[in-house]
Amino acid sequence: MSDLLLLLIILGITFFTGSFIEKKHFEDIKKREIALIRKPIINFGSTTWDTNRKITKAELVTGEVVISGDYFKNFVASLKNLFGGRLTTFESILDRGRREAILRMREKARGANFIINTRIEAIMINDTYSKESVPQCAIIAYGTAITYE
Amino acid sequence: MNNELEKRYLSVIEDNVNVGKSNVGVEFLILIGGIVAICLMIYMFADSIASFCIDRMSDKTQIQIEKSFSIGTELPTIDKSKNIENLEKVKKQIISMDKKLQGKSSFPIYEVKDKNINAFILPNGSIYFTKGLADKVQDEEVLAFVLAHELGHYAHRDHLKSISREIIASTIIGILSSQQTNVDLTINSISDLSGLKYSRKQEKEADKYAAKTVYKLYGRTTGAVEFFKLLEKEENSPVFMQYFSTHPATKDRIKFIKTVK
Repeated sequence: MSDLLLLLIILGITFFTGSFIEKKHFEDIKKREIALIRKPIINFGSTTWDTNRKITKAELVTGEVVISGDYFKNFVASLKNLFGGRLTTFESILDRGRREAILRMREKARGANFIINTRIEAIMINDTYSKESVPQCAIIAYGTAITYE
Repeated sequence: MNNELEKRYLSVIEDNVNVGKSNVGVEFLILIGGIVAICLMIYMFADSIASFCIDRMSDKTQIQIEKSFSIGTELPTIDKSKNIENLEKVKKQIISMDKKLQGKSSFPIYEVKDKNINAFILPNGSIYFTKGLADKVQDEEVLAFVLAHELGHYAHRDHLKSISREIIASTIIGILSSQQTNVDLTINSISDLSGLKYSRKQEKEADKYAAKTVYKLYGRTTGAVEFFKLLEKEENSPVFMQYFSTHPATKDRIKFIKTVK
C-alpha cells in the first residue's frame, strides 16, 4: 500500500510541475518565434538555390537542445507501451525540443539575411537497453546563414 | 513580406498541430483503469480455474504439495496451557465427523507466544493458538469453535488456494514487468487487495463449517457468538479499515453465525 501511495504522490507532483514548466516553455517559444517572424529559413540545398545578389558571408549556424520528459510523462508512456497508440506525452516534448533548437539556430544567425539548407537531427543520448534509462533526446538544427552585401 | 502571409505564420505558431490536444491526466486515468480491469479479469479467470482444479485434486497430490510447501515453516512454540491441552479430545471428534480431514495430517496443536488473539493453520496441518487467546478464553465450546474454524480452512483446501493465488499474482506481475519497469509496482498493490477480498469469502465458509460442527457437537452455537462478542470488544479498528482486513467485520460474522443451524 505504501509503495502505491508514494507512486501516486510522485506522479501527482510531477504532473503539476511538468505541465507548469511545459506551459512556460511554450509561451517563451511562441514569443521568440513571433519576434523572429521576418527572418526566413529555407531547407533548399545550396545547389538548387540561386541568387543574383552578391554574398559577403556564408557560415554554418547550429542550435542544439537536450530535452527529457518528467516522471509523469515517462510513466504514462510506459503504460501506453502495452496498448500502443500515439504517445501524446512525448509528442509535446519533441515539439518543444525541435522548436527550441531551430530558434537557437536562428538566434545564432544574427545579422544574416536568411538561412538555407536547414537540417534537423535527433538522437537518443541515453542507453535505451538499460532498465533505469530515462528517455532523453538531443535535437540539433543546423544550416548555412547567408549575408548579402 | 505582406500582412496576409505574416498572419498565416502567426496562426501556425498559435495553433500547434504537432502536439496532441487530449488532456494527459484523463489519458492517464483511462490507461490505469484499462490495465487494472484487464489484470483483474485475468486474475479472476485463472483463480477460478485453479480453485476448480484444487477442489478436484486427489488426496495424494494434496499431501505432496503440502509437504513441499511446509519445509522450514515450523514456529517456535511454548508449553501448552491446560485449556488448549483439553482440545485434543475435541479435535479427534471433529476429525471423525469429516471424511475430508481423515488420513492426511495428525493436526498437532501448538501454542505460540503472542499477545494478540489469533489462531492459524499451516499448510502441513499444524494448528497454532496464541497465548493471548489461551489466556482470554477458558470455555471449551468457544475454543472448539476456533479449532473447527481452522480445520474448516484445511477441509476447504484454502491453504492450497492461497498458494495458487500467490503464484498467479506473481506470474501476472512478471509478465507485465518484463517489458515495463514502472508498471510492476502498481500491479503488486492491486493484486494484494483483491486477494484479501477473496479470502474473506473463504473466512465466511470456514465460519459456516465451524458453526455447523459446533452445533453437531454441543447442540448450540452460543459459544461462537460469545467468542465474536469478545473479539468485538478487543478490536477497535475503525469501520473504513474493513476493506483492507482479511476477515469479515465481526458484527457481520455474528449475524451470519446466528443464521446457521
